[in-house]
Amino acid sequence: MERALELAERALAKGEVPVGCIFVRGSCAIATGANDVNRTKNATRHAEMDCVDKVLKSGDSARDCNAHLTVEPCAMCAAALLNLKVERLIYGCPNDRFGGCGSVVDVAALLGSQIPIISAVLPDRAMALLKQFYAGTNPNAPLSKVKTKKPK
Amino acid sequence: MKKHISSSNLEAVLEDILLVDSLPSVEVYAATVTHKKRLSEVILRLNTVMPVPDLQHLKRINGLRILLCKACSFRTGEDAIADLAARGFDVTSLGSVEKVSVVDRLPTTRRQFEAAKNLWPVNFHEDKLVEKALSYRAGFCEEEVGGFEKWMEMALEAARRSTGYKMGCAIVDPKSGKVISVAGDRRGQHPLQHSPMVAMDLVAKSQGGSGAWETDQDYYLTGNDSPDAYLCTGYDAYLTHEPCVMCSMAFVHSRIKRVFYGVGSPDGALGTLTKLHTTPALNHHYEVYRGLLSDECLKL
Ligand SMILES: [Zn+2]
Ligand SMILES: [Zn+2]
Repeated sequence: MERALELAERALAKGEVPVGCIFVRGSCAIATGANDVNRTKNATRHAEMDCVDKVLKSGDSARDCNAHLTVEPCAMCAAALLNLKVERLIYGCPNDRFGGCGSVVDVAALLGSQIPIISAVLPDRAMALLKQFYAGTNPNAPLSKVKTKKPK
Repeated sequence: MKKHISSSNLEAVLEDILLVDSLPSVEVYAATVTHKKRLSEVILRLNTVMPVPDLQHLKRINGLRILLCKACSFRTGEDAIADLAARGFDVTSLGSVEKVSVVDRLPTTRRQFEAAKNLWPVNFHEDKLVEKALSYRAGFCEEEVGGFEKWMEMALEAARRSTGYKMGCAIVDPKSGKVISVAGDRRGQHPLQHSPMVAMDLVAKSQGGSGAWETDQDYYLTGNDSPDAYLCTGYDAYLTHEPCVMCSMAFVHSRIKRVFYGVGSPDGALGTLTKLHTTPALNHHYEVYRGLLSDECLKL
């Protein structure tokens, strides 16, 4: 989770949505993901989707990976990760705008998934990054970026 | 006169409460007013002495009967009258008290209103869009449905040449009448490349974005990057099958305007497992219609 938080901090420094995502199998990090909405112009390119693509591109699969996320995944990403049969889904702070692990929608209940979901791992740091982003107080972000930021 | 016979049984997928014929009820105490001439005076006084904030959807008066309070507030009607007297209300203006069943909330549809007002007079503000959605063929005329079917044909064609499941999606700009992207299911190559996800990625490319995926048989409109084009704002999506949770939420992020699908799916999130598009907490809501060319979609 420390690594995921570092990724989120780096995203914030670039004026991007501060969400970190890392897939780990055993003790081995196999991929990281970052929000890629602006470059792709595709609003579904959340960090989790980016991470899944990187894993697949490397010829691997997300199966049996622990998915570490700084923020509760949205319903889209939660559904994707559960359907890909990750081993566990672990996240930091809740996402009361889109959260798919109970905050807005309970995707696991909808899908009848038994995959363990572990919440509130270092939630304060993840939340502080989000608050900074949505308050637009990130001193490193150029003004134009702050204005055109897209919500996760 | 020759008429186009539509094979579609189009219906709107609406939030559950709109589909309820009669609303849940709650019991109240009502008393007769002995002097008709004093009616308005009694209402005024009662509103001050015993206000009913959670029964604001009801009229206080029904003929010569006046609504006192929820039945759960007092053990008996006599207790309610005694309480009124203790508050300085002139109870000689009231006659017998009885328990009456009334609806527990404001009706959201005309049908609910008609049923509710038989119990007790109730307020109602008709929502024209809701009434249209509830009516035959979701209120669309034959000609409109014919137009929708034309777009669905493109989704069907994409489904037939799909390399994954036989499912397809077409995204259309109803304003310009142009198809923006068409995609089939590609689950064989990539587990997340459901046809709607691919079609949304192609919309991104049509607007000059890099998109995320390379695809072959699917296509998109080039040069769609006018300044007003932003994600799927204002666009309609035509799907042979009800989308899953992932794809349904992706349509929220992409700000689609309407989703039309042919047939339901066991893992569908727009009518089967849930009605994701009616989740109040989400920041964008789209309309959903089903049953468009359902026979053709079933045959895939
Ligand atoms: Zn997401
Ligand atoms: Zn899907």
